Amino acid sequence: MEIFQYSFMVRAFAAGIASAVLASTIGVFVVLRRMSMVGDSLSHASLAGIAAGMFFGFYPFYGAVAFSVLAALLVEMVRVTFKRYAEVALAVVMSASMGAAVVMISLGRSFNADLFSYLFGSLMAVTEEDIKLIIILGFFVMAALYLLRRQLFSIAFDEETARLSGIPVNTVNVLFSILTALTVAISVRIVGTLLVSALIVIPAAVSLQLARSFNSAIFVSNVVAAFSVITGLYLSFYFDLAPGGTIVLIASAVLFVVLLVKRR
Amino acid sequence: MDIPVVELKDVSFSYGGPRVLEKVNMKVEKGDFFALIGPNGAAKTTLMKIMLGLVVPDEGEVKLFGKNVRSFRQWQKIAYVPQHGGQINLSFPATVREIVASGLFGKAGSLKGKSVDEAVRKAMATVGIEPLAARLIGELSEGQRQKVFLARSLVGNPEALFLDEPTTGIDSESQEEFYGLLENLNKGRGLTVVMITHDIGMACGMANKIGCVSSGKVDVHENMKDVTEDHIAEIMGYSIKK
Repeated sequence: MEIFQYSFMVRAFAAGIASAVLASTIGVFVVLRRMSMVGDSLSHASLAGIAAGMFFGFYPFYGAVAFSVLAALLVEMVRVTFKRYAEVALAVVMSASMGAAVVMISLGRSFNADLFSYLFGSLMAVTEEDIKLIIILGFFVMAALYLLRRQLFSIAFDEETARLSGIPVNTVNVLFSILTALTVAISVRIVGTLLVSALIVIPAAVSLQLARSFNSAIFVSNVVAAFSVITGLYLSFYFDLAPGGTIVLIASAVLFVVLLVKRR
Repeated sequence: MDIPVVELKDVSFSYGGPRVLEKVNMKVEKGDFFALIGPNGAAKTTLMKIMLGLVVPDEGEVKLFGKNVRSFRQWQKIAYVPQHGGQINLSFPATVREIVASGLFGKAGSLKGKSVDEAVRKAMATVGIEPLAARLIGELSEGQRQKVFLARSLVGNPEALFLDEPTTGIDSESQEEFYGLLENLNKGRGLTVVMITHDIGMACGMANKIGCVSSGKVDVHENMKDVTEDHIAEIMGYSIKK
C-alpha cells in the first residue's frame, strides 16, 4: 500500500477515523435533539480559536478546543434560557465567532496556507502533536459518551420524563455540549471548520433512514462516516483534492443513494 | 397513618398574568386512584407538573412522599406518563424494548444486565406488548404507543403513577383495555394512580377521589357514593349526552 509509506498519510488516516467515529456518534444525539446546526456554530467558534492562536502566537489547536468549549457552554446557557428559541443561541454564537475570527485574521494578516488548511482540512497538516491530542481527547470523549449513553438516549427521547426518572438532565446536557465541542475541535484538523458540521449530521441522517434500533443507528452512523473518511482520504491523496470537501461529498452521495433506494 | 403521596398546601401559580391556580390544597393518599378532571385550559397539566416538581409554584408548599418536592430524590417511587402520545419524534430510531428499558436509566443504577432484561420483559408482559418488543416506536398505533409509555413507567416498579390524559387520541376499545390495566395495577398491586382525564364516566367508575379543577380551584370529592356523573358534569360545566 503505497499510500501508507507516507507518515503524514498514516497520521491523516488516524485523525480521520477518530474524527469519523466521534462525530458520527455525537451526530446521532445532536440530530435527534434537533440541534443539527450546533456543529456549524461550534466549528465557527473553533475557527475563532484558531485565529486567536495564530494572532497571539499559541498552538491553534488549543485555541480551537478552548473557544469551541466556551461557545458550547454559551449555547447551552442560552438554550436553557430561551427554551423555544434554541436556534437563536446557535445563530448568535456562529455570527459572533465568525466576526471574532475575521477581525483577528485581518489584524494578524494571517490569511495563509496554514489557515486555509484549517478552513478546508488538509492531509499534510496533521502533526505528531495533533495526533497525540486527538488520541487523548478522543479517548476521553468516547469513554464519556459510553458512560452517558443511557442518559443521553433518555434525554433525546423525552427530556421531561428523563428528569423525573432521576437523570440530572442539566448536568448531562452541559457535559454533552463539552463533548460536542471537543469532537468539533478534533475533527477540524481533517475536515476543516467549514465542513465539520456535515460529518456530524450526514452520517446520522443516513442512520435514521436505515436503523432498526438505537444501537444500530449509532453503528450505521459510524460505518457511513468511516467509509466516507477512508474513501475521501484515498481519493484526495490520489487526485490531489481537499480532503474535507471530498469526505463530505462522499457522505452526501451515500445519503442521496439511501434516500433514492428508500423511496422506491 | 401513611405519609401522603402528594400534599399541596396553599399552592398558587401564574404564568405571569392572572393566577391559574389559587391557594390549592389537596392530598393524594397511598393506594388512591385520584382523577383530576376539568375543562381545557383549567391548569390540570400545570397542577400535575407542580406535584412532580417540574413547575415551581409562586407560593405554597408541595410534598412528595413527605419530602419537599425541591429536595425529593426518591425517583424510583414515582413514574410519569406525559400527555404526548402523538407528540414524540416518530422517526426516533428506538425499539419498544429500548424505550421500556429507558425507564430504568435514572433509577440509581440498581439493576444491571439480566435484571434489566427481566424487569423490561415483565413490564412489557404486564401491559401486553411483548410481541412488539423489536418494533420501532414510529411503527405503532397511538394506543400501542401509550402502552409502551405505561410499560416504561412501570419498569422501575414505582409506588405512584402520574398520567396526563393517557388515552387522548386512542380508540374506545383500547381506552377500555388501558383503564382495565390501570384498575388492576391500582387494586391488585396497590399502586397509587393520579390521572388527568376528560372521561367523567371513567373517573366516577374507577377513582376513589376526584379533583375538579376549575377557575384556579380544586374541589376534591372523596365520598364517591354521593358523586354522580351528572353532578360532576354540572360542577365542571360539561354536558353529558344521554
